[in-house]
Amino acid sequence: MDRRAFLLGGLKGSATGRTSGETEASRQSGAEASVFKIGRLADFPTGETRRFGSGSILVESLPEGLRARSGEPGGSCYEITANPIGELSVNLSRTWDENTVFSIMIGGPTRLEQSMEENDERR
Amino acid sequence: MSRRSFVKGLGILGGSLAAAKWAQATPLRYFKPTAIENPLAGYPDRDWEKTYRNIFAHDSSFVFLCAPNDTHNCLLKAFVKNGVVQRIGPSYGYGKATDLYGNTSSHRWDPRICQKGLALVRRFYGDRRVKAPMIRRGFKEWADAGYPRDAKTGKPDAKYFRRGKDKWLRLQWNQAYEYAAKTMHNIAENYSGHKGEGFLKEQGYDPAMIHALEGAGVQTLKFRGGMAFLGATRIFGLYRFANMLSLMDAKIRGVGPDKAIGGRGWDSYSWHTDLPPGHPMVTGQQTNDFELFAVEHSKLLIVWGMNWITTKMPDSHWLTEARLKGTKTVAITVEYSATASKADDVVVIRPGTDPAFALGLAQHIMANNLYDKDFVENKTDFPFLVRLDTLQPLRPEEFFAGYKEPELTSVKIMKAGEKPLPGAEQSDQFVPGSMKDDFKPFVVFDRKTRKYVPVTRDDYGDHAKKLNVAVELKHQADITLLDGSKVKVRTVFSLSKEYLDANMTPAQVSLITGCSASGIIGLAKEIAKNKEKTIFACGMGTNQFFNADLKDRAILMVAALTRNIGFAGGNVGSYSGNYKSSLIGGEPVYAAEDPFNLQLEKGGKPKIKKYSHYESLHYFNYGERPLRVGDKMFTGEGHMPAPTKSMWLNNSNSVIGNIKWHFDVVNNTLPKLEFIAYSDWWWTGSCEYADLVFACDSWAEFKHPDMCGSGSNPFVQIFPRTPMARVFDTRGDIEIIAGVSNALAKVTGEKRMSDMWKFVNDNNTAEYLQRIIDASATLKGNTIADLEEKAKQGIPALMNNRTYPRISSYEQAKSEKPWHTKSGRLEFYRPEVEFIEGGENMVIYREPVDSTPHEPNVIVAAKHEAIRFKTPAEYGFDEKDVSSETRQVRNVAMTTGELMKSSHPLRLKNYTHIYHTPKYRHGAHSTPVDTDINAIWFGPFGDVYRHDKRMPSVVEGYVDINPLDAKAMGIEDGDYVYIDADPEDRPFRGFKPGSEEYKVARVMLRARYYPGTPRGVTRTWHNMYGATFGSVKAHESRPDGLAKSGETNYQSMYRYGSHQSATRAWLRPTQMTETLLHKTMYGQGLEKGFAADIHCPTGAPRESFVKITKAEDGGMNSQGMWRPAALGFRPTYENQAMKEYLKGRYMKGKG
Repeated sequence: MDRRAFLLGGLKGSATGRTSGETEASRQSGAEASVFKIGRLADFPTGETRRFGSGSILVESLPEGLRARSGEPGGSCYEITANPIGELSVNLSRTWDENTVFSIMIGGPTRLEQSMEENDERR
Repeated sequence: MSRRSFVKGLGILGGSLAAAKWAQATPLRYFKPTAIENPLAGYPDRDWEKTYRNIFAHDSSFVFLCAPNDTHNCLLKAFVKNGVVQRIGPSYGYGKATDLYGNTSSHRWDPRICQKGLALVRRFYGDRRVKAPMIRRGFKEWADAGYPRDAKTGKPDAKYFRRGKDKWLRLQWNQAYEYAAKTMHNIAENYSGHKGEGFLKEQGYDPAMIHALEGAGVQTLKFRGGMAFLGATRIFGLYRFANMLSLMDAKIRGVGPDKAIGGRGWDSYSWHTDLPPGHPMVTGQQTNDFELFAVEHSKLLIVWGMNWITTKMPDSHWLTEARLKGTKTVAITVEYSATASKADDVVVIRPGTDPAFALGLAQHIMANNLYDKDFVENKTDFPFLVRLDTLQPLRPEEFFAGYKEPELTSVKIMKAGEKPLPGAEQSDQFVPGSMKDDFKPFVVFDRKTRKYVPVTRDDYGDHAKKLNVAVELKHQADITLLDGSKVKVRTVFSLSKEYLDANMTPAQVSLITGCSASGIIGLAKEIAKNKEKTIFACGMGTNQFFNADLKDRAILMVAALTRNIGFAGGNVGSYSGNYKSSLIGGEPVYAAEDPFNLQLEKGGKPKIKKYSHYESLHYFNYGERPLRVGDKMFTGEGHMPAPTKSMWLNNSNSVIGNIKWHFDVVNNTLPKLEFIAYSDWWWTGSCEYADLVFACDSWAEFKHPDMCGSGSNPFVQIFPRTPMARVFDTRGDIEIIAGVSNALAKVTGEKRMSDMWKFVNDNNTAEYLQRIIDASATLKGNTIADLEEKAKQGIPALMNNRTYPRISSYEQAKSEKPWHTKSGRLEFYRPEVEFIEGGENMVIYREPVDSTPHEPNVIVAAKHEAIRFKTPAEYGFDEKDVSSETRQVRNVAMTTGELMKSSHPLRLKNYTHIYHTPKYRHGAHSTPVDTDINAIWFGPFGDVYRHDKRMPSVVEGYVDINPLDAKAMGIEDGDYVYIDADPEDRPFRGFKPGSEEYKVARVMLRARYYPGTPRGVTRTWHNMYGATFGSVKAHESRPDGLAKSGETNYQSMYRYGSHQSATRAWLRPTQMTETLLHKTMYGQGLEKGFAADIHCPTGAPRESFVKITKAEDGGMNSQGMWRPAALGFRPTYENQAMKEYLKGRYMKGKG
């Protein structure tokens, strides 16, 4: 977080908020509302699947990383992110294809089949 | 929006601002003037100020121990807000530390922290944390396939071992434990017995190494707790684990406890080149030292090869406070270092010539009778007579008819079956009966009576005065022995003096070192003037040359000549690495508890039995080879390594990631290994090449307490358990070891392997700590509960040492105890065969083995009757062979004049510069070095925005070079250059130009103009993370050019190669002897030959002679000059303003 973002974050709902006449609720975008926290990495042992949102979202913990998908057959897969303190979130407004998982190594998306070796072979 | 564009925007909009209706909806509406009649009545809401006032407010705080391998260890306070550690500060508890008697330390210890500790927040939550147990895919496939091997060689298919290029998979913890356990069991099984022996022969291992295995495949499993004194249970835990593996060996080979062997332990202190290898050769002790705050007791402080101000940061104030108290400070260094800038006098010498410099001081002191006669005659071996026919000490039994050796009281000769007292109760030195003959008496000459007099080991120090002998120090004569033979005898003093007078006069030493003769003489006089008041604080800088033991022997000689060993204000110390585990002498009750007879009762007394052998890591570094040159094996049998097939390390990046000769290890040695496991909390260069990585808790997340100490300060420090929740899927180091052991218990059916960690499994690790405390003389009487409670408040405890500060050789200087040597005195003559064959029975000078423009490793000596080394021909190789391999054992003598005319063999091939790689303030080894807010200060190339996308990171490695040298080579400040060392073996043996491996390995880095380094000498700091296959691939394929692996997040700080591209492993014969007597690590026992971290190879990472070639322009995107140089802010490029600044013209004073 840069200094500006830090300060703005700290000012939310206080001086800046009041002066601008905005409320916290009014600034909450639709996209933000579709993001929900699912826990920390340790909550997802490899090989296990956890359900969220009354079972409508499944989070699978694969050896290559985490994958969030709709509980319906053939449903979408969703973006997973981690914040700087290790909390994981699913973003329902962003979809990933089913071969994309959240790599715990790099803290971002990676392709399921991707490895340096395979890339080398492809080249 | 930047400030600049915002202001620019204002200018454009300004004219129409008043008229524009929409302006009301923009932020600019706040610029409308407001009329306020009474500001106090209508002052705007100031609640916003709370945001600033509360920036440092916190919800809670807790204390944790920051303890990298920097010798300090600081209890720090973490401040938590909204569940997140936001900042770190000192605990301010050091002044409250007490010992068991209530003595307190002083508040001058506070505050205790450095910039690396302050930046730790970014590591606790950092993106290179090892976040869960990870396994390399190829390795997993090998394991899942049932560990298939070639039937003849036993080797697995190389397709499973594409380390550094493979994909990583996450495991559950139990799976990770199982993979580790099954793999180690499989390896131990396959390399045991005749089958294992056959495999190893087929694989080409040296027969001596196969012999060292003793048929026990378990010995191919190697373990290293990195600088284990930093963790009495969790880091030493790997050595306990190695000892435990004797249970597995018993199962595999079907043997009983009498024949069972454990896994092998690797060294730490000597591995890091931290051990001053000459200290045990003179004192018998691992290291003679003192706690750093002793310096204020000295009048003359000589800081020698130690960059105290940068590497001892929380303790650097002791140096400045000593100066305030009037201590004169002299820095002996190879550059104008940060410490040099704080010194009264600075001596800059050619790198690696320290032994010559010390011998120059000794020569002047001896030649001018400036030495302390009492100390020299009674506390050193200088008066002892040496037979010139055998080069052995003259023994009374050879000369005095009917002489009968008296029973010694200064060392207890143990009878067969007799057991020594427990460590904490040992007050007297002791040896097994088999070593009795090592303590034969000596002979001196009495100038008063003109008679020869026997002197025993009991006649040390003031006890010698009872003999009432007026020792003739310079005596030499021809005598007739009892057997009728006529031999010449001379004192050690006489032999040494002749060598020094012929080769090491100030004028000669001036030629070798570059220091003026008057400088040498002046310093010698000053040291001699300050008896008991001169402190030699030595650093690892001088340890990193091949001749390091000669340096120690020479410095200790100067100190002994001038009565400066063992006094509060006069002593010699060596400071590198957190090494002195003997301060916690009870450690063996944990690390070497007998796994066959475990103590499972709380409060019970454990039995000690060591089943595991140790060995030096330098043989692994050397390519899994001992030193065999010509027809001679130079590695002593007790030092002999076993083949390595598996390694598991914790708290360490120095065995792969930052290993000397790194790229040789990666390309030539790692392919021989079948299992590499690391326990770490940061994804290091070592993890890049591992098979299994266990994710550990950071110091702030500890759920098991631990304990550590240091040789440089008086505190025992506890790692307290903290309230911080684990950020990722991590475990404590000790839990991981217990987890693998539990899995091994299942694999082998041996329950004791699980019982071995009973108190960890019961979440009561404190029980093991209490056992160690109870068995340690320095800690006994404390309870772990009290110590941890204090630690939680940020307060350490004082160890119960005899003095404060602790002073090595204190008892010897007071003549209360003998030194731990054969003679009980400081020994400057080594009569053992290995020393005589190497021409080093006396303290002599050898050139560095590579870091020299002259012929390497030459013995500088005119003809001398006591220098009778073995020649290359006697070893079976050609004297003209000066390759790196033979050079290590090549004994060739030259006079000073001949040396100066000689050349390094590479000089004819445009190799021009000495290249050395010391450590710097922004890293403790590689621990915090890539933390961005810390890293950007690592020289002038830090740029958090990475404007030049060639930068591998927010900072990058560079080579310091004298501007005049650089200009002569057409290299501008900030240019990228290649550094190439001896192509015979670097960056790795068998490299092929144009290959991917070579591209990754050949170092390319920035050149920094640095006027502080002499011409011909270059330097790159040791600490930065080097290039890997993943980082190079990322650097070349990512749009932003960042050298951050797309597979692992590993962040290199070099585009290509690293400082280790130019280093290699070196093995030194006199560090591999079977005969050197020294103290055991713990207690008061004496032993001979190999001892990990005491007597074994130390390597020589500063030995490199290189060629420098320009690679790219330093300007943005390879265009032109690097901007700071182009702007005139760099040395030799100064613009007018800079020139004015340097002349101090921006300062104006009165008058």
